[in-house]
Amino acid sequence: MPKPRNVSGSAAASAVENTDSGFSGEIVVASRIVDYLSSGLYESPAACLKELINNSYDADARRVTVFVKPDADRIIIEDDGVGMNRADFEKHFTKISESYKREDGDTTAMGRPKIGKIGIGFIAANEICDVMELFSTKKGSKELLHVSINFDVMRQSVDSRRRGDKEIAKADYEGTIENAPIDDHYTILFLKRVRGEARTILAGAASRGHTAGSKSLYGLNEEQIGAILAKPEVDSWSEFDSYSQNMLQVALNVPVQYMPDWIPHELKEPVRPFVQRTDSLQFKVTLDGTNLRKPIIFSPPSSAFVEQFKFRGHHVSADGYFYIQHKGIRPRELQGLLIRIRNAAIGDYDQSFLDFSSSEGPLFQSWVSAEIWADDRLEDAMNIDRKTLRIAHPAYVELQGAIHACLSELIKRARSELYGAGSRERDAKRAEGLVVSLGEVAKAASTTIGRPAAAALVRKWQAAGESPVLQRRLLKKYSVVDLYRVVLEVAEDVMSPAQVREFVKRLTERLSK
Amino acid sequence: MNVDRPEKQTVRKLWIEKATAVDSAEGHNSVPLYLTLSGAEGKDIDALIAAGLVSRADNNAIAEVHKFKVIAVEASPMAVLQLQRKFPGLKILEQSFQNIIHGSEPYAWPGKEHENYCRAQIINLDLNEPLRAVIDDEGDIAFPVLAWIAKLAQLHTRPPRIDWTLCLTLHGEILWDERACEFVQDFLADNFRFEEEFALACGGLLGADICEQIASGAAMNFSDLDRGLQQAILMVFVPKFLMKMVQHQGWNIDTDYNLRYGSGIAAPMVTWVCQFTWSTNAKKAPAAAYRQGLKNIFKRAGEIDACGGIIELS
Repeated sequence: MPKPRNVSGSAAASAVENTDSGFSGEIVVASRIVDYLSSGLYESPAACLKELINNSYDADARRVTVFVKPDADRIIIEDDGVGMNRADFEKHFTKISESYKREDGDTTAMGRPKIGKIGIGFIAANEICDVMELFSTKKGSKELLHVSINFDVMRQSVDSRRRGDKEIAKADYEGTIENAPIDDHYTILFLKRVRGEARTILAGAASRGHTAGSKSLYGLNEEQIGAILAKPEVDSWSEFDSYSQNMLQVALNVPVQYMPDWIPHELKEPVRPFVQRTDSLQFKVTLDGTNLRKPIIFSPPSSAFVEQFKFRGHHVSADGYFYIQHKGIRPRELQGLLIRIRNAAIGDYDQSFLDFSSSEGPLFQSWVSAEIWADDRLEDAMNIDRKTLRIAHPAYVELQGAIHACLSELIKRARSELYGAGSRERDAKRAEGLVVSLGEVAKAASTTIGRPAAAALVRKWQAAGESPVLQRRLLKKYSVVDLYRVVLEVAEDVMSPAQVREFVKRLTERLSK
Repeated sequence: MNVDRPEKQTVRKLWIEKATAVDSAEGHNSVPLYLTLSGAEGKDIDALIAAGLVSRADNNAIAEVHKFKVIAVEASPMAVLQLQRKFPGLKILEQSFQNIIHGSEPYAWPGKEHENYCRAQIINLDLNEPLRAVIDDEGDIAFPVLAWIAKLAQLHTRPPRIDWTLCLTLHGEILWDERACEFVQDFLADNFRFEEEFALACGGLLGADICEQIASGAAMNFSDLDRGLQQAILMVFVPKFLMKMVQHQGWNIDTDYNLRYGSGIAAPMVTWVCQFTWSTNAKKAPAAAYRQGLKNIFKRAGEIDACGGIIELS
């Protein structure tokens, strides 16, 4: 291992040994704060994988291949991106938080908005493994960069890792330059010595503090996964093993395509711009042979609608869609609001819709699944964990207001179109049932009132199928008081007082039995 | 992709034939069926899949139920990647086999996870290297590859004991120094003296002149022999020496195949398929088991011709 060197606060590169065949050095972060934040930053292995895959996206990779199975003792992430050389490595990797990722522009050569900002993504690797080996080459270069990064130093105390006034050592590295074909361009990461809990979770076994079921998506192709996720009986992703849950979380976050039939055909039009936007990124990720697609599948049990969202504010602009269906969305993980910045998701679906009032249509909130693409101004509100937003930030506050206003309107619409429609359907069925029963009553009474009168009675109420007013009357519920009121009114019109007295007496006996 | 030589295809068929037989017998599900130094292309794994011994899932990855049925050993990261691309979900140990088995160190053994893999029912050491001879710590001649195999045999005796098959392929060229040649010559000469049947069989393979030369004790440099004879020396020496190394462990060794191949410009190779079956008798009377093992060293000895046909020794 190279000896730690003392670096001044402003030093950038930290290569300490250089020969023709190899180089080595130390990776540092700019401050104790970044050291603290980047230690334990990622709560799950999926979060780490997402970061590394998004790094590939920022390198203009069109295809990323990830290998985890069978037991996650080693993870390989391979991309066909632009690659890097030694100078790039030392510039981008050796000093975390002083990232140069956007130094040469906000977008990649392909025109993708870069997801990474402060270069902390690769630190994700130290959360799950002790050693990362990197191979990379750039098109037009005959050099293959081979670096082995050892994160053991991270497990030491902060004091022993302090370098100068402000910097903290994160890892040691050793590198060599080998030969590569001039047309090749790629980066391959080997995450080695994957650490205990991360390995257990990634391999798919149940582990402490992690809810996991027994179903697995390993070995399935994208169509099969789509078919499984579309089943209404899949209540939650927690029914799957932890390997599959990681797969779904990664697929939800990174900018991969939607499944071909993720939403019913008649609802596709309003979401078309977002599908096209994602397709245009031309980004594919394969995990152990499975092509990942966004695990968003809507198969409404009855009626549903989609509303586009467009907001142009002073502090932020955003667009997206709200999908609302009659009954709660399954799997539950799709309930809520997912915000994307630069095509990468910020955390998971937020079931509180940015703290929307829980008293306003709580039932309907579980009927809604929304994806919102916010512009870069919201990025300033994003915390370093890339999954939460600062709630006092003006961009957040403004977007929150717009989302809440939209959601309020949608809940009203859902109440009238989905819930109302459902209730009308139920009423029509009840009315039909009542008319059938009424037919039986009329048939029984036909010997007394005569068949024409019985038939007329049935005909009258059969018309309720066509007339909403008549249907409401048919379904009207009467109290005993209402009954006396109606019966007395009619009896007084057609009976003698004696008959009315006798009729009321018997009616009372009958009703009070 | 490398062009597959017909001889190599034949050898691979022998491996798969063995794997099929082992798989269909009532085996030990607690250990892998097959551990292999498959190389980056993993052609023997392809053959196992084609034979239906290992299944692929719908996305072409190794099926979950067979995830530890085959274990590949490959030290080069790029070759690991190539294998993993071809067989997503395949268990690959990214180390040299020497590291896994801790070389010929007599007191260093594989860790718990690796131990299980090293107890596979079939271990295929397809080594594209000659049989090296070294001087060990005690100043004696040692053959590291054969020492690994003796350790593998020892691992298989741990409870529950597992009968196993060794598939071994070595480069057929002999690159021993004078001392190693002398050691091998003495070893063979001793055996010629004490095992008449073995000596006769060796005569059939090596020819009377070479056998006489070995027996005479006159110094020989095996590297000077023509390549066919160098292969023949290995065919005689390797199974014989293996038996000597493991004879006290209780194994009966059946040499199912003892073949050489590679003529013309093709690299000369030697390959063996040996079945290790444990028995109390062999443990109690190792000398008898040893003699029995010697008898069948040449049971299926021969040559694979350039078309892939097996020509057995008459």
